[in-house]
Amino acid sequence: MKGIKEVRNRIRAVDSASKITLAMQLVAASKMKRAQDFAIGSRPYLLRLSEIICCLSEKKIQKSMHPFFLSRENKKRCIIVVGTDKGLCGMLNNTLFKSIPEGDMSFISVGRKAMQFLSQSKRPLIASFSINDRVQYHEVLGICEFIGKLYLDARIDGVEILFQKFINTLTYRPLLQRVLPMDGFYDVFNQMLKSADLEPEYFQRDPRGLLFEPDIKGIIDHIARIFLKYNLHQVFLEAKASEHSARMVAMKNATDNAESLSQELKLEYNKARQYAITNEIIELAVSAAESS
Amino acid sequence: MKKIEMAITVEIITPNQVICSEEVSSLTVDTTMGEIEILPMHRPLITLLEVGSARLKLPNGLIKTIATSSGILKLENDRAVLTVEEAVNVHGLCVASSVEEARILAKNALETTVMRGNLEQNELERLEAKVRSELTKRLSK
Repeated sequence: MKGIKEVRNRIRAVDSASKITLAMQLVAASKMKRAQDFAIGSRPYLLRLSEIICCLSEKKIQKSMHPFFLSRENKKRCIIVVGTDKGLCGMLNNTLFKSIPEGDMSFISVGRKAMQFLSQSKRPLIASFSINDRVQYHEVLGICEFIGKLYLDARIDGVEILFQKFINTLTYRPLLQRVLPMDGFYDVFNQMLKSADLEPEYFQRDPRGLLFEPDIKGIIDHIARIFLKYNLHQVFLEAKASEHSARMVAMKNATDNAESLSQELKLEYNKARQYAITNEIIELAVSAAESS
Repeated sequence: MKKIEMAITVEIITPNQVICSEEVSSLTVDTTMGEIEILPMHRPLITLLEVGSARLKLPNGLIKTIATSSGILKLENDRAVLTVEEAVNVHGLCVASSVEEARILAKNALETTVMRGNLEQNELERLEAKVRSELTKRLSK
């Protein structure tokens, strides 16, 4: 049996660790609530923008109007990997990094963990961005301009984004989503629209046909600019919601483990204490018997 | 003859939240081509919105104004969706009503405090009387 002092020191260490993890759990819980509200609250906006793109795609008129809609042969792929800045969030980053496809492609990292992983695995990393918890528009705009320019200069032929899609507090799924060009994922939009719990009459098309004001080109230019920005914004919000949920769950598990460990150690401590007391009593009894 | 009620469902959506979703009898918006008023049975339309305001005429005749930034309006099957980057419900920002509300709140707060003060005073007197009667009982024994 270990010494009393040693066990006492371990109990103290475990208790202080559990206090820290509890504090981190509470911080993550408050951040999680905010991030989840943002992620869920901004979904309808993107959904409605997607719906407008669907209407445009039905017309098959947009193809030549904006380079973002123009499909090309995807020779030079580029993948944006959205990781976290800090650790202590369970298996979130590991499961994400396992989903990175193999092959000849370049990478852009968002978050310190993604940057570390991509550089350590010697993948061609062309840029590394960081997004704070608030997911501000100017940060998103920087990334948009960067990939937009690369795409327009034909240095890359297609952009995809890999992130943890937020489903609920305990579930997040790695998702590889096409960002540019915006041509091949109308089916995805349609699925998104159908899964969004809208009434069937919402999809009924008016036979009179759509009228575009001022002209289709103006609308397509506007949509191309806005959609890229808010699509990325939504992705980052979802990734942040997943991150804070994962961290909250990881810290809760750590706190629970620390508490059960502390219980076990306390039992061990009490046993050791009792053993020492019993020994002392026996010694006293023996010495009393000897002296009499 | 039965009166057919016609209305347009208007949704104003920003990246942060759904600002409003309601049935209106007409909708006036500022587009890049100028101001347009949309009535039920309007032809399906997709148009660019200018920074300005959306005026919603509610079925009870009231007009609700919502300030919007630039964006897109899609209208189909009497369902108008305004996807804008920013929107503020001007109706909710009515200064006069908020001042009046603040005044009523303050008045209520004062009244409840006074009432509570009275109650405490009464309670104190009752307790004092009880103590006095107990004391006289003890002394008389």
